[in-house]
Amino acid sequence: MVDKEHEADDPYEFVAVRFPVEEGVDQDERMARVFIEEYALLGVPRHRILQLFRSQQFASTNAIYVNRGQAFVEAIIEDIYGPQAQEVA
Amino acid sequence: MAKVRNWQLGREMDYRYENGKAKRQFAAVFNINRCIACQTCTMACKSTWTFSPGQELMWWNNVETKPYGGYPQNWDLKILDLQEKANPGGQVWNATKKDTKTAPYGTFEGKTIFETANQTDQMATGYIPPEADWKSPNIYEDTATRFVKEGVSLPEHSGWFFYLQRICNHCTYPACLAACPRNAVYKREEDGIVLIDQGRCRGYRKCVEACPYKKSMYRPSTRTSEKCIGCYPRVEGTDPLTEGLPMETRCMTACIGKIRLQGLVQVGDDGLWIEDRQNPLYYLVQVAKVALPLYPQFGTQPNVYYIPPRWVPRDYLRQMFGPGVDDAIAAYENPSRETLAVLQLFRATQSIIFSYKVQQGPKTGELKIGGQTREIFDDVAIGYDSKGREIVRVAVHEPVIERQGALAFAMNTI
Repeated sequence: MVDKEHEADDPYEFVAVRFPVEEGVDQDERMARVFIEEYALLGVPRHRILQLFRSQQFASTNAIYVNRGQAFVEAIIEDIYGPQAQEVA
Repeated sequence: MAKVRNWQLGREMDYRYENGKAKRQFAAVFNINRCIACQTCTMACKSTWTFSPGQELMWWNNVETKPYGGYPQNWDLKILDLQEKANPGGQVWNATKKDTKTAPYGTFEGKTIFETANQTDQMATGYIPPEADWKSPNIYEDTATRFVKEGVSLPEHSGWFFYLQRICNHCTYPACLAACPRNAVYKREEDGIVLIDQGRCRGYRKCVEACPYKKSMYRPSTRTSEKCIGCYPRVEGTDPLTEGLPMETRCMTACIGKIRLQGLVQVGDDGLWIEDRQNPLYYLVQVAKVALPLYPQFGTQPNVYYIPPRWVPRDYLRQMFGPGVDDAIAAYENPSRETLAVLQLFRATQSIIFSYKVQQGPKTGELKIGGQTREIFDDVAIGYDSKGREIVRVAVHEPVIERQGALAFAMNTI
């Protein structure tokens, strides 16, 4: 099973349904911000956040990283953690 | 029909029976934002209660993917459709008609499932799902079938979905109870848990038809209906494991994402929750108002509350959780220090937490949330059991554990 290719017409395959994207909303940006804020509020240090996106273990965040690039993710991290915001201990 | 007060709807409504005498009510809060659909809760329940012949399709606890999924399939869309057909265009809320205690979300001006039923052969509007709908929970849903070595080769989604965790809501006004022609369904005074007396049940399936959440299920091998029993031996503290103290259910204590908190709240004769400011459930539902009932418009006054997923389009969420969604998400997105601390109590202990205290900790940094700079603190939440003894102490800052060497494989997170 693990070696078989994805077949789009297989009803048991991964077919998560998306919500309609609202006009003018960047869904990647919204979701990346949700993930980062959720972890930041739990005191996760800034330098660990990027790994959440770089690691292939996390398919959702990694999809954003692959699609939009590191600079895109870093800009959101920068917005939440700084420059005026201090590093979380 | 009796008139009962449904505070979630902000009004009185018709129900088959007078208000019950439950002094305490089983209740829970699920934080949808943190669920990863690992199904550990599902398996904890399955391996405890529904592993016998005839229970193969029975999942008292399930986690489904929204907007598409459902167990049974499309259960909520089907009920919403029946209600809309019974009262076309009338299923609306008046969010301005509010009262902090008796109508916190506004007033529902539509009809409940009890009010659209004909009251002869149906006590509540509903349907019996065909067998196919119970099969293959999570079919077509978010189930990754393989592990990739490089990049992401699964179909990508630029839009987003969420997971909905579901058990019996142990409703204050259960539709299953109202529908039973044998009076086999009853609600316990001591904790509000709703049970089916297997001796009285004859498997007429009126409860299966009436429960809008579809949490009553038919078992062909015994020809009776069964449902989630709220792990009552644990809740009442008679399970030997509990050592006499009330303990959370199996699904709650198994949650690895720490998204669940369950306990007991005090209920007055008027059906309203008695003020119990330091009970974490009371705080989350009645004070912080971050957690909302699922489809309150059905009218059963369900007792499982959800912190709505903050990334999902609001019109969808308003239909699912009522007009309290915007305030709930605002309170969750930029939580108070107290809310942040109480969220840490989720699944922090197996025992039921009856009260909590927050001990203020040092400021550890600043973040910009929602365009505003906010300070963050490493506060400590302390939970107490039914006898007022400390049972858990957790800090807001989650410890980060990085495994080294061989253990680092696939398990290192961030």
